[in-house]
Amino acid sequence: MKKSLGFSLMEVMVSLFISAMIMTAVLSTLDSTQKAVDAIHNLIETESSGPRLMALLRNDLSRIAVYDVDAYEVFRGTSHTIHGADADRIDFLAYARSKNPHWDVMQGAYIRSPLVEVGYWLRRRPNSSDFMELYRREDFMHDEEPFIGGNWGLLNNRMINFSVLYSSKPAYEPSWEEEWSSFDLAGLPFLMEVVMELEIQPRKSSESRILLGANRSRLEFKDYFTIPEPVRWVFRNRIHPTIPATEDLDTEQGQTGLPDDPKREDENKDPSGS
Amino acid sequence: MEVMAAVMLLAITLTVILSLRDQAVGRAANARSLAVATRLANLMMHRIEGGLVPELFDGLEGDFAEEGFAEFSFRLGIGEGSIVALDNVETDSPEYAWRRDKEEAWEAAEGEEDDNGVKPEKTRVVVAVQWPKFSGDPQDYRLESLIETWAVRQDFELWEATWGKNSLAEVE
Repeated sequence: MKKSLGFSLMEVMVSLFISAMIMTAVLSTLDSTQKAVDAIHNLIETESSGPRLMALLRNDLSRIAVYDVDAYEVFRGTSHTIHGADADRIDFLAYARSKNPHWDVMQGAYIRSPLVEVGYWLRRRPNSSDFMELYRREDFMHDEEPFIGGNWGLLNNRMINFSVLYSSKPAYEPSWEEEWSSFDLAGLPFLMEVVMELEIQPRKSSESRILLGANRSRLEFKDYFTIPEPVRWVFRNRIHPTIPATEDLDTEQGQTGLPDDPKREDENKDPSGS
Repeated sequence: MEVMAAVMLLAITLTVILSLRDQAVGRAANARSLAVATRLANLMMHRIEGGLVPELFDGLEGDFAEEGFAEFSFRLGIGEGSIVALDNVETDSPEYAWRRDKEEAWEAAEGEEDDNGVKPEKTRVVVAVQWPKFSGDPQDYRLESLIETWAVRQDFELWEATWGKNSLAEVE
């Protein structure tokens, strides 16, 4: 009897059925894994961009430079709009280490400054009327024009709204100003309200829809920034360091109030201690 | 038999993969909730610092519906030994003793307020934010800070007396 070398129809049918089952299971697993990746992307994305920008602004504002400034030109907030959306600007001096190094010709090396002019400006995003670009301006040290010039760093290119309001003093219902000039008002704002609206690019998936609104594309972030009262006080009173002139130190008047020289006291003492 | 074994192994593998996927999504959701809670707690603290929260009292509760997160609720603790600060603190623990001690000192300083016109410069504020966990019990995040007393109480006369109109000439 001749032995059969191939598979029977039944065997082929069963193997095809098993293969179909395996392929279906593997593909559905891959699909759900892809959705999970999208969901995790949305979860992370929604809480990264806005808070990161707020933290950067808070860090810069916490280092606002007011000590020993020549003029009141330290802080300026101006109101602007682009295509009807708020695009306010803030400029100030900050004791912040410059993020962009400056080429020093004398030293022949890149150096960083401990004092910089900082600004947050927006402009219309090229080829898009829906979004704005938020830039951080940074100018090396302090010059005669503290609110212009410097290098620009792009922070976000999907900004929809950027609004800053200023309040001069605490109150039950603060009166908010749209602009602030430390030169005109001879003071710094007590409180600032910053609202930024931006768009993220969510990946639509059924998983992220059910997770606490994590698939929202337009997000609004609001925060309040207070400038510490001692800082405002120093600025208001224009505190400058003063060092007594050396010639005054030698006069009797210059010595008034100074402690006796411990060495002289030792010299006058009897070495025997009696 | 071999086919059955292979199919069973495949089924186990796929089940493990799917459960890992669910765990990853759940952990990402919880991580995001923690990030949101941190941001909301900081926002509340910044509002208190600005004197924007009226009628603060120990144990005040509310939610963040205005910020678009109605599922996140908060409790505020005011003072060194506030209700919120003492939550989950064992009564025989060093932390409990420390907080009670600070509370008594704070209350004593408050009592002297009428005689000397001096109030504690700073007040301890605890913000506890709760949110529903992706699966299981709710979780919470606690933020504790010392804030100017005038801001916590919205005592704007105190602010005015301290910082309002003083100038270098007046101080000298």
